Amino acid sequence: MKYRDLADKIFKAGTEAGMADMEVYVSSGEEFEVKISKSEIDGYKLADTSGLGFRGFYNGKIGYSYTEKISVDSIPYLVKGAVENAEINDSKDQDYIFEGSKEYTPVNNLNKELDAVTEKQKIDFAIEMERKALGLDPRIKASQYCMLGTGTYASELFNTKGLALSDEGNFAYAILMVLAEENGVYSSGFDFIIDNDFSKFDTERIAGKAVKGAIDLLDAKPVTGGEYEVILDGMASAGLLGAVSSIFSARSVHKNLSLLKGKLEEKVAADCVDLIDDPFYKGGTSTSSFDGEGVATRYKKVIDGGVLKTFLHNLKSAARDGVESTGNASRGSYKSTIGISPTNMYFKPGEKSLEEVVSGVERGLYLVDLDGIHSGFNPISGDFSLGAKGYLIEGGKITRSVNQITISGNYYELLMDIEEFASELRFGMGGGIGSPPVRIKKLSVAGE
Amino acid sequence: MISKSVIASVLEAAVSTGGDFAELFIEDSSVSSLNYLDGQLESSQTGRDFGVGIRIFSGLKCIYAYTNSFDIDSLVETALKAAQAVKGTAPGEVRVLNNVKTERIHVVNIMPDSVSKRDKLEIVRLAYDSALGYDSLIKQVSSRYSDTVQNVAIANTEGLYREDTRVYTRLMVNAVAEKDGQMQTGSMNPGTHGGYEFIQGLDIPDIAKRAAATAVVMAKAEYCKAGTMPVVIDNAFGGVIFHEACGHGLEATSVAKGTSVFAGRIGEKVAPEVVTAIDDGTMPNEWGSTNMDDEGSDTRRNVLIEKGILKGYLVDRFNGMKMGMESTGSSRRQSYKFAPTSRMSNTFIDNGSSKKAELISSVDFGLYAKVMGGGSVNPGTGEFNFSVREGYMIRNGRIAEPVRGATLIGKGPEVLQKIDMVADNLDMDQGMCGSSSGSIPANVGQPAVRVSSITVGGR
Repeated sequence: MKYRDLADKIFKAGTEAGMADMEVYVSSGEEFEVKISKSEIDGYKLADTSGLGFRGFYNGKIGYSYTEKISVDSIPYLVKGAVENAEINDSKDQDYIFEGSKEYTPVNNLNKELDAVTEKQKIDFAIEMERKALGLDPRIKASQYCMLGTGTYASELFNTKGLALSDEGNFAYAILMVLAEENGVYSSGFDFIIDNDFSKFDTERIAGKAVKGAIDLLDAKPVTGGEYEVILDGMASAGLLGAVSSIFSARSVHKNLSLLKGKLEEKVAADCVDLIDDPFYKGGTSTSSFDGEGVATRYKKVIDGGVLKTFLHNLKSAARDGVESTGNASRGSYKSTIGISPTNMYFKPGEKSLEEVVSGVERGLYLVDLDGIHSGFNPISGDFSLGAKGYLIEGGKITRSVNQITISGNYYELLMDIEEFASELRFGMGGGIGSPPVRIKKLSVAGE
Repeated sequence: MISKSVIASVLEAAVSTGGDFAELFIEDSSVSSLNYLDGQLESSQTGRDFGVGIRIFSGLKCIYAYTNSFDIDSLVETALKAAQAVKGTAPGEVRVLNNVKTERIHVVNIMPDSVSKRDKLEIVRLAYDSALGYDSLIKQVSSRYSDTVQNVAIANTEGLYREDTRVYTRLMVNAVAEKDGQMQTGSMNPGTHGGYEFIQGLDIPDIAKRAAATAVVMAKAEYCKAGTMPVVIDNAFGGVIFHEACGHGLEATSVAKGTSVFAGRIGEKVAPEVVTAIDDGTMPNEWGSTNMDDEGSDTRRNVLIEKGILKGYLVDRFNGMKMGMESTGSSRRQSYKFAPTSRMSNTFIDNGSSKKAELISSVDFGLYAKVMGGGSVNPGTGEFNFSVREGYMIRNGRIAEPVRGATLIGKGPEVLQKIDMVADNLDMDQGMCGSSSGSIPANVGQPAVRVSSITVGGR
């Protein structure tokens, strides 16, 4: 491993400064991104970055520091910073440097074939994606975002308890947002793909979905207010789940920020709800064999048949509850202190296709886009009030498009009101959080 | 940070394929933060951000590359890779680097990295305790201290070499009040482009109590009723609406693309005569100020709107080329990870001649937005939606009962036309402004203004 020697030098300096157990985490990566506008390169970015995070015990308390200048010159800075931060640490919870799990499930996040894709292919893909979208319908006036990016990442974790772990992978993404106009009415449509298998990248599919989204909404109008049965599209449902995901963290429970407190082994959702946290999900953006503290990750059902089975833990929260870590310690980057987050978390898909689920709804809404998830959603109380766009369902069929409505409800109640899931699982842009289309008994809609 | 001979080699590599212009942005920053929550230190961090950004222009194409490497071989390799995106003929010229002295407008007496973490811990504890002790309705407080010392060097193929040190020091207090299961928040976030002496000069218990007071008043308030009415928006953070709904439209980034409603309207009347708006990056020790911008140009005082007439935009080098305009010293970026673009610094509506009391007494029935909260703007249409963090009804010319949940809804350019009274109590507040070149410190500001009619959302 590349940073073994440097880590040992840091540990030596830390020991000389009076530190006890210590840990070094290094992440590095390379990225390429091209943005296209009117068939020309509008933005071109190359990045090659790395950073090192350090933490360790001093007088029984943990302290953190980090640097982006990875060299022996940075060692005194790292040690001094960590010692200073440990000296003022008045936290009552115990922190840990981990000795290692017995077994780690291997994962493969590296697709060698992606390296063979040339820069020209990538640029041509983005140009073609825009060209196809503009050619599909004369009402598509421009692409607002049209980009393609690829990258690689690697991380290494070392500690003074002998643990040495590494992880590497690569990824690619394509994003397209188009603007449609007709009679002075504007609407936009959007689609994306994130995957390290470039053969799945299809300009026609992305352009088609983005264009359909924009065109369908050109003649959208509100519906009358009231209670509606609602099918939330997978992306919209994943957006909500992502915004509320901290309620499953034991830390949120300890800080009184989750209303799931005290509800283990209780019914918190409808019978059909299985909420899965799967660190081995193939192609997942959070797929890894170990977590931010070096604990082996594992597959778990957070909710099983509607019953809350576990919270997500790191070593600190697990010790406080007298349980084992669930392998959900998070380390957003080398700059972050240790927290808790899901890996690849998603609702288990159902058997029926979306079309079949729609056909079962007599009168309702199929909503594809929710606005204001970060301002109109209170993840502590679960209350939400969000702008929504989508389609009206009448007699089991989509009859017209809908916009300028708001839906409101409470996420804890929504979980109990889930009737079924369709089969098409989709992960959101942020990665890691997924959902199939979900049918909900009722939501309150404000419209005309 | 990096020797001039290395910089010259990297610049040569950057224009080796025929680029018209290349620029290096070298950054070495140290960051310190403490976050106090729930009666204990939640986190404290010390770190060093270090990297180099390389920007190349070829015609109206911009290429950007960045790296954490600092040895000559890696830097030249990064520059050569970026240069591959340019298909020119002869290599571009690199002029001899000349030092341009940077005058320090923003005096720093106590470098924050010379102050012990213990002293900083006492500050966040004092803020925490003061806010928590303000009222029994206060259920949760977070207080955060942060400082950043950003050392930058900028060099380009025209021979410019310039260094600057930016020092940011800030305290943030957020209080949550709870009554009948409903939570309301209040916050205060004073910050400076300056040293630790700023923190020493703050009345911290008073700041914490002001954050808590907003939360408590709102927790006890009834919901605001929706309607269209005159609104008096008070000074300081009230300027966030101008910043979001008009300021972004005056940035060359959107003007050059033609997506701004202000594009091509210089010299036109865009606001009533009482409105003068300014962006001033030179104000001593203000949060949004810098000694030079992130392309190495002097920051300036730019008059955007004078007595209602649109006077100018905020222009960076790249968009300036597209628009045929000179830079206004407005090019900014979060870090070496971002290509710079035109951004705001300290942006405010200037003092008028009315008194705030006159604004209030002129309204029979309306809303007084004492403290504004966050919001969002659709840049294409100018439509905005902002929450009022602390609001009161105005009845018969007097401030009456507090109301919660009020939002202000409208279109930026239209609301600008409806500002009909401007008071003389200009003040600033500090925020982080997010856009395509990252999140940067920016001041918003205004005196109290009266908007003759605006849609107020509520229940």
